[in-house]
Amino acid sequence: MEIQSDIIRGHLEPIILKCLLKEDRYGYELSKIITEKTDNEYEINAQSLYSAIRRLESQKLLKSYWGDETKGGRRKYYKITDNGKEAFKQHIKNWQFAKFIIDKLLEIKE
Amino acid sequence: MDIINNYCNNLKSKYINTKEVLEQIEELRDTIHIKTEEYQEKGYKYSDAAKEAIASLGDIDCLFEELTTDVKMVYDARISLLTNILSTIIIFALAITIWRLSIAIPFLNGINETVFLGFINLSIATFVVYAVQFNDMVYLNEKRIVKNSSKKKYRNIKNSIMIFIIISIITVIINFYTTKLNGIWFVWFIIGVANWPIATLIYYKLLESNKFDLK
Repeated sequence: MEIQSDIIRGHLEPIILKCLLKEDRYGYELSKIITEKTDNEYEINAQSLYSAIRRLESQKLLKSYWGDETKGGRRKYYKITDNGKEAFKQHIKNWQFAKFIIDKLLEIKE
Repeated sequence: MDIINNYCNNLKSKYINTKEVLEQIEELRDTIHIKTEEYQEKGYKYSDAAKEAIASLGDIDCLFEELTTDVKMVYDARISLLTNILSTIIIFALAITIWRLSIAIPFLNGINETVFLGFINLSIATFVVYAVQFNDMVYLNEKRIVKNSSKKKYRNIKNSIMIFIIISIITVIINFYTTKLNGIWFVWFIIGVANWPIATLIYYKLLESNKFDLK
């Protein structure tokens, strides 16, 4: 089943923050985690990924640094900031509330 | 290797080479290399693997357009020079007007008494403002990448007005503390410092006119 990309794209930023909660990761590693977690149902392209990363950086929810290892190009790692962790917690609350309301409206029972 | 390098070089020549653009290209180069290796492990030939890896990136132009919004290549030194000329004309026209008024209106005679010292003060203040604002102006044909986000423009204009107000207040206090009402020289110094916000406003007006953009 193909997952509706647009719906997921609207939540890319918290998804990226979640991937960075435990450790710092580089761009392609993030896209790979997202693909694996969705059992290959959803693959994020570089344009969507890096646009979301730039937005998070501009909001100071994550920061970046260059790593040592390379496979031809330099590798940039991303690290979640304290503000990023707070924003992620807030997003979870918002999501749970929105889901509760939409489930009610659409009469979806788990 | 050539396919990936060519792709990255093409991106470099297509977009203004800001720090953000160059860093993004390096990140993409790393991603393409890893993906190419993955495709090769699946049995693809190198050239097909590299092409597949590049195609999988998606609409990458969109990403670079986002990165280069508000960025343009301009003849910045020419803008700075014209800004200096225009703001100098405005400042000295203002000073001469006040000087003439101080002769005509008795209440303002105190200003006229300091006219010689005043114009020296005005010139020093004007020069200091130029030295601080345009200290990195090199030569007229110098092309420079300029990011003109409304946030940066608002911050620079706000700062120039704040500095003008602070220096003006300090100057008035020093004037009256040191010479009482015997010589009103602060007016000249304030006009000189007014050069700061005036030059900042002119600079952004010229920058946004697009007349100095690199064709």
